[in-house]
Amino acid sequence: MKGPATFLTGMLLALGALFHWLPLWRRENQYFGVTTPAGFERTPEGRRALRRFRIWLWLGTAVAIMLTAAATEAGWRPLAPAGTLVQTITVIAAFAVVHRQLTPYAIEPQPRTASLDPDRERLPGGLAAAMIPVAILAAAAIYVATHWELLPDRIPVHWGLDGRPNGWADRTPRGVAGPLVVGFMLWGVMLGSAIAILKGSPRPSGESADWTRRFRRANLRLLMALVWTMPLLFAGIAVRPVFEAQSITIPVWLITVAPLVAILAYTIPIIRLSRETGSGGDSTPDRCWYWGQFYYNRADPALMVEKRFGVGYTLNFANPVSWLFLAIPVAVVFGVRWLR
Amino acid sequence: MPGPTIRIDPRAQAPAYRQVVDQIRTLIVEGALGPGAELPSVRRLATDLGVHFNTVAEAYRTLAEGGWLEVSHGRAARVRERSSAPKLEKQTERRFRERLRHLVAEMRAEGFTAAQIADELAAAASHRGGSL
Repeated sequence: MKGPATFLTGMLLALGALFHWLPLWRRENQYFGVTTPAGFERTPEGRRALRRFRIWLWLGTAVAIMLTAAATEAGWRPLAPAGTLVQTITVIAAFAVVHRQLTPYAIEPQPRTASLDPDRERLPGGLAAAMIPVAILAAAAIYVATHWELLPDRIPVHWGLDGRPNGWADRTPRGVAGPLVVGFMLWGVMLGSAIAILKGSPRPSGESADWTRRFRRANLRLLMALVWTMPLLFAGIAVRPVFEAQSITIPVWLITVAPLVAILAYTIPIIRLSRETGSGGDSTPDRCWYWGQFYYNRADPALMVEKRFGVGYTLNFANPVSWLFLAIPVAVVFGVRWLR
Repeated sequence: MPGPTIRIDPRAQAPAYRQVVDQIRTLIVEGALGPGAELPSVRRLATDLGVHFNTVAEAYRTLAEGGWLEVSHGRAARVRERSSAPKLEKQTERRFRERLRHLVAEMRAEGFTAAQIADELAAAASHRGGSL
């Protein structure tokens, strides 16, 4: 099998393993997006539901791998990533089917409670500290601008798995500033998401307040880690050619591995929390969870709520601001294309 | 230590705004919310409870009109100092006696004994806090 196919197959298997366990990483009273009694996953119905989901998941993954291999063998390279799409659609559909089958076992969610304490919650590290990565990006921009003559005609901006560059930008202000602008946009997306959770999601309260507080902080820490590492990554990419011209080499693996380590280090506590008991339910109405995955509740002013499939937070799609949030990643993708 | 909490019961007959009013007033009367205590903003409390902003805004307005809260634009709502209990009028007394009669009848229908009802009422009345 050729290199890209091996990589894509490995990725599909890794994602398959992730999806295999994902339904079990949730609040104790939530199972396949349905509010159920604690321990429902250990009942015969609960076990059957998980088995059904996993059968569909691995069938979809097998089809995805075959499609990827066939597309690579036939030389249809653009079709190779379609395997990932097949796998994703299978997982969403399998979850939705199992969700519907479990609906008869649903129990009434706990009434939503609210603390009457004033809102004094802050971002981990504070908002002012979150501006430092922007200063780093600005410093990188000044450094590159003042060493313009050291830049090569073609600047590497993308690398293959072997560590060799496979994407370049021209030595123009737009081409050179590209990585810095992308770093800035990602900084904005991550910080915006953290603020949206902080201000736009329900605060911890009620019986599972302690668990909710820890889960919320863990998610905010992950996002703040990305607020720092993403600009650092792109600042590194921007200054690397200037450093290389002065015989100082920044290994590409260091630039890419650092954010991955940060993501992993801050995701593990979230997964551990998702396996704890005593986390209760999320108190959102089941009827507002479409396919058990998409939250749409006009009566709820929250912008963000906890996910029911996967760990972290998702948007309340009935909140108009959520569409703005969806537009940002699209703007980032188009921004990257424009900068190339 | 976490402060007092309120909850919205979607199955309750009372509208959400009335539930917010009743619970905050109860917390003030019982002393769980003292004079000067700051309450969350309308937006914050609505997001936490999962109700429309207008529901909480209406509840705060009702509590302010009843003399329980101080609400001014751009500032956090605060529990108002009440120097003395308002003068009890005959009509108000009659209204509450009538409500109590209905409540006691409902409790009897649910199986409470007269002694239990008396205990419950005495316990509820003894919660009266220092703010009044």
